[in-house]
Formats: sequence, C-alpha cells, structure tokens
Amino acid sequence: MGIPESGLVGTITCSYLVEQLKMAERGHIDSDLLPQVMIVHDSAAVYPVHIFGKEDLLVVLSEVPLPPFASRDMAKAIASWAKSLKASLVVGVTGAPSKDRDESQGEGKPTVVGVANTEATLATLKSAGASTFEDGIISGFYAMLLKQCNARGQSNLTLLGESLSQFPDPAAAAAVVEVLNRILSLKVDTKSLLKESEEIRLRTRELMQETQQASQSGGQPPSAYR
Amino acid sequence: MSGENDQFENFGRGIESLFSETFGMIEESLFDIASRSLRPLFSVDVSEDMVTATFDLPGVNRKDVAITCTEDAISVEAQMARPVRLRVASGQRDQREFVRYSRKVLLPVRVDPDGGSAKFRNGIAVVKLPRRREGKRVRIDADPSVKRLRR
Repeated sequence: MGIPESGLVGTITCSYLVEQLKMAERGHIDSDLLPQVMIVHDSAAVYPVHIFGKEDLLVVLSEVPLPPFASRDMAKAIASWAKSLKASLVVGVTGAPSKDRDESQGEGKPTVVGVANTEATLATLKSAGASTFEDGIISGFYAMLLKQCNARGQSNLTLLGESLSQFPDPAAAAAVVEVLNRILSLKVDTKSLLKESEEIRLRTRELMQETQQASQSGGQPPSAYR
Repeated sequence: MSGENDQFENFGRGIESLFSETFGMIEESLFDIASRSLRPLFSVDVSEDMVTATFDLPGVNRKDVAITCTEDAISVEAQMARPVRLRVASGQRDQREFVRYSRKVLLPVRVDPDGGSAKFRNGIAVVKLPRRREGKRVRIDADPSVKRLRR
C-alpha cells in the first residue's frame, strides 16, 4: 500500500513493483472523502486510487495525497478488506524524513526501518535487512492502518525508508524494494529504478509539490518521528 | 496586432513572476513553457543564525549551476545536461521540451549575501547564508523620577 508522503517513497515503490511485475489493474477505491480528481492517462479517465494484482499479491497505489480526514475511513476499509481476503500480511510503505539524508543530499544508501504487530513479522524484518523501529511516533495514514489492522487481528508491517524530506527520493524507494523482495519472496531488480532516478525525480515533481501543499494546508504531520 | 499580443503576454508573465517571487510554493506552475525552463522544487529552512535553501535539480552537472544571492533572495539558473520532454498537465498528450531550470526565491528574513556557501551533489543544491543581524541596541536612559524620589 503506497500513498504520496515523505520523499514519495510509497508511490515510487508501489509503481515500480507494478511496472516490474507487470501487474494488471484489478479495480480502484473511491470515496466522497477523496480529493475530487480523476487522473487522465492516454486520454482515458481513471480513478486516482488504484488496485493492481498478480497471483497472491495486491498493490494499492494512490496517485493523490490522502486528506488527513480521510485516513481513518481509508485505513478501516483496507484493514477489513484484507481480513476478508484472509491476507497473510498488509504492508504499508512510506518514507521517514531524515535530516541525515537531507544533509548528505541524497547520497549513500538509505536505511529501512519497520514496525510490525506480530512477533513472526518482526523476525522476518530483521533477516530482510531492515531494522526495527525502536522508539518514536508514526502518524497519519500508516499509523491509522496499523491501528485498524490491530483491531481486527490482521498482521501489519509498516516499512519506512529513510528519505529526503522535501524531494522525491527514488533511492529510498529502491532500499524499500530490496527489503520487500526478501519479505514477500519477490525478485524485483532495483537496477533500473536507480538508473532512472533522475527521470523519476523529474516526472514526480508535480506530485511532490501537491503532497507538500496538502501537508501544509491540512496540517498533516510527517509520517514518522524518531 | 502581434505587438499587442506580445504586450499582453509580457504583462501576464510579469504578474506570474511577481506571484511566484512573493508567494513561493503556493499553487505555482513548475513549468515555464515560453522560456523552456522548469522551476525547481525547493525548500527554505530558517534557523537562529542561518538560512538554508535547497533546490532539486535532477539532470544537471555541477559546472552548469549558477547561484546568485542578494539580501532577500536567491536565484538559481541551471542548464540541463540534455533536454527533457515532459507532459505539462495530466491528460495532455503532447510533451514539451525543457532545457534548463530557473527560479528566484524570496527569503523570509534578510541574509548576508557575502557570507554564503553552496554545495552541489546528486542533483541537489544546498545554499547556506548567515542571517543578517537587524537593528541596533538602544540605550535606556536613567529615569529622572528615581533621582527625585531619593532626595
């Protein structure tokens, strides 16, 4: 599950999975609480929150920032839906704005931390090259998703890629993809994500600007504090 | 006729740049089709003694970046290593070619432009400028009424 937040890590990661795994669009999520937009791709209007699927993997990808007041209902809907599908794990993917990453100007390999609500998932996290989120606060949509999954006994994992706070960060998304490869037994090569990093940064500028504006006007806090 | 149109176009551009310089990030287009330039994403951080402005310039080499500062603004001009083609609005089929970045950002506080330093890595420019100390200390005169009371 990826929505636009810090560094656009969730959206870049999920779109890359969809593209690399050649996942087909299976449907969309709609609500009166979502921004009043339709996305036009190649002259066809589509809903902005997509559901893609292939075999037993589903990806929910939003092309619009989620208004803070929509977080709870969206999280409830996703958690209930996952439970009804008997999903083995709900993974939220996002960025954790990092001062170190801002200061290194996006160079070096970003770390990935995870929050899980079962011992079993926590154990896989450590062997997947991510560290556990020891102390801090996660807020916004992913915190709500974790809460709603907890309430239903649904396994949940939130992966936070250390990211630039204000700009799209494809390298942070690549670090998250590597962890997802091990957790979900995927084989997605991150080479082209890193190679096309400049291109992705150019193409996601507008979404980044909208995300910044949405977080300023709606008072949405960053996804994590540590 | 074309002269009139040009005038209107220039007027429009003037207004647009006035808005962009005044309000920064607010609802501003990231494209300037007429000059084939992109307005880079940026952020400004103000601390007690420093202003840090960061610009996202993917596709640019260090030698092609020019940064100029005044007391209250930073301008960035950068030539791209190669032109890029981008869709300027969703739903629009045709793409436009862009060759450079250009942006002037008004700062929320005054800075000392001579004390600035800049770094460029990974297509991100970071400019640090010391804040200008404003105002001079005003001496408070002795209160004459105090003397009277002592008498």
